[in-house]
Amino acid sequence: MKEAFNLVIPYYPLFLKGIGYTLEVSVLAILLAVCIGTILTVLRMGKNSLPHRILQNIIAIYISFVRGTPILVQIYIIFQAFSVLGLNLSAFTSGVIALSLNSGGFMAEILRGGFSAIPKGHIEAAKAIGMPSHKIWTRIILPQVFRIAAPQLTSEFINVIKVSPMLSVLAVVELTRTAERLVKVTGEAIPFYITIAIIYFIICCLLEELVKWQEHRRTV
Amino acid sequence: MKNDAKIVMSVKNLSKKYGDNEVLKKIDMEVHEGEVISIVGPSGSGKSTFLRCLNHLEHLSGGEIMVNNIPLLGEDGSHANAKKNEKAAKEICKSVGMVFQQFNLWPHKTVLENIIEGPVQVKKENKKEAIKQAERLLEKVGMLEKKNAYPAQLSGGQQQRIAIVRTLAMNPEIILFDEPTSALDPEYVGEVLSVMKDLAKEGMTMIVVTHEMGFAAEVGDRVIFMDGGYIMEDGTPQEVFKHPKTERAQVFFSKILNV
Amino acid sequence: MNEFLRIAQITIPLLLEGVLSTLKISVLAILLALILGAFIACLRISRLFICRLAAGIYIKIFRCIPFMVEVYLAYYGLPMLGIEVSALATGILILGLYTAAYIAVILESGLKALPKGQSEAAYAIGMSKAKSLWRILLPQTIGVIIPPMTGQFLQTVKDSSILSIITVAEMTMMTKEAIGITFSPLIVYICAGLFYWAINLIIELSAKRIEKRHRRISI
Repeated sequence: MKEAFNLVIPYYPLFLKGIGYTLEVSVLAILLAVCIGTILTVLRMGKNSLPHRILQNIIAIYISFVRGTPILVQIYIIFQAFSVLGLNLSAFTSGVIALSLNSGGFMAEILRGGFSAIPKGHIEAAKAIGMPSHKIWTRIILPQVFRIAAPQLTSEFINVIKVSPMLSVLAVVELTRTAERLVKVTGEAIPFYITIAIIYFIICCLLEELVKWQEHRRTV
Repeated sequence: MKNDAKIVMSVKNLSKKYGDNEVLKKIDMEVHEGEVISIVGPSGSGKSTFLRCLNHLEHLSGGEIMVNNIPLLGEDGSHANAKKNEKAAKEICKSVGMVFQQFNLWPHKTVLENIIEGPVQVKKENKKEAIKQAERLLEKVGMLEKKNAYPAQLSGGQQQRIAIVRTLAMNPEIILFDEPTSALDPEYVGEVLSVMKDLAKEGMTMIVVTHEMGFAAEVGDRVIFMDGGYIMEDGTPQEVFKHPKTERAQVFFSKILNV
Repeated sequence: MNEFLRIAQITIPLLLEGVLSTLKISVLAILLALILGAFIACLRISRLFICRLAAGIYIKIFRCIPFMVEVYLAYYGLPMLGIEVSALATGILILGLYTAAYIAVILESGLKALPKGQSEAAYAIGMSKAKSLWRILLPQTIGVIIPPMTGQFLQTVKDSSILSIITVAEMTMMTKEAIGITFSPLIVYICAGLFYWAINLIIELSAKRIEKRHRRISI
């Protein structure tokens, strides 16, 4: 036990860096995902014209694909697609994009749930005072959606953190990749993996408490 | 009064606490075979909790309950008693049935399946026999044609009559009724009360927590008035309704009987 | 176009092999998870504090650590504990243990959503706890838990892709082989994505049918 401790401790700057990277990737991905999810939600709520229906079907297929395939495969596809297109993006960038495209699909579903929880009367009231429709979205609908869906949004953030280790397959040196490297260098595996397991555990537990707090606040 | 009949249930010094909150205090009661006892009182007086202690749905904190010579003992601070009670309760449940305010029929089973569940699964009776008996009982309450319906397809009154049949199918010696008509729309109260009256006439021992003072007066051999976790009055309907001894009971009955 | 057909010809048989392996792994892991998850859910609703606590800790640990890290821990940790099994067995085991935590939560919330009177009525006719769970409570939760359970099964199929990092020959691992021969990773990965998508759509549609039939019965 003590040996393992002594083995891990000298590398703490690397772990700190890894945590930083993991959080950076996750925060960037979730912010982009919120944007993607919001756009998808707004587009989905459109009128019943033919172009709209086609758009809605495309969005439905996108969401189905994102939810129906492993994120690991999605990461590979995005990374390869960029290189085939000749875009020379770093592993970090394409990793963030892959995570946010994935999370954006889930986000759209979450936001739709929040949207349907808004009483119709709120929107009618806004129309009745002559508010233009973009203002109804930004001032009436979206603020409420985000308040209602706050716990699920945090849960989705937890999910993003939990899938971020998969970016290690692209050699993004986040927390898990850091551990993998140290395993290769030292030839010892378990102490390092336990260390990062504990770190992830603490981060996710703290965020879960936040979810509970948000849920509590919503019911009060 | 049927005081010469044998005693089938006795409660001595029963108490029940939730944390520091004592909801039942020093309850004593004896039930004779064939007696119909109504328990009345304001809400929050502990009457439902008391009833639920009698078949160990609520664990008693102190005191003792004897049902057909099987004891339930106070559990506070006594793990051994809790263990013993669990075994005793299994036996007690075979002779003490219960009818709930919310009927609690199992929604995934038909009327017939609800009724034979106990005889077949608990008493290990032959399934064909159990169905025959169930049909006989359904006939009695006039619901035979509904035997293959699911509970959700029945009215509240019908559901409660089925719930009573489900209890009867276990051949209980005593039936506990926990506000059996309180969850019903007014038009269905009568049909359930009439089934209960028939049972009383047949000599079933019944303990009924109720707000139906008419039922208590007409059918009950005894009325128990509870308030604040105590039994305040215990006597014939005549005594308790017309000449209550305690002020609490006088106030309570003057409010509800004179409206 | 010919180039594409050539790649597909090589890729698809390899991936189909991977599909079978993915399905086998997922089914075994789900079976393990259902048994273990049901057990943990029972502990969660137990009256004994120590049982509830132990089950709670299990759920917390498995849910709060990324699956990929758990896979590494199992892969390197089991041999250290003197358990020498194949990567495949390790993969199924850890996927099962991980999924069990989620299934336990689904079952627990399904059971807790039932009105208390349902179990009380079973108790009042003298039914044992195990029997009332099996005959009265669980059948009623089915309607409620089918959608989240389906979601969990889909998740498990997707999670099995991570086992490729410990060289379990499931579909994602087989893509590596196909890429080695064809040298066109993008097409191979897209094919793999389509296969996963197909599996998941099939599961989803069958679940919807079961759900519909169940709804018809319960009304």
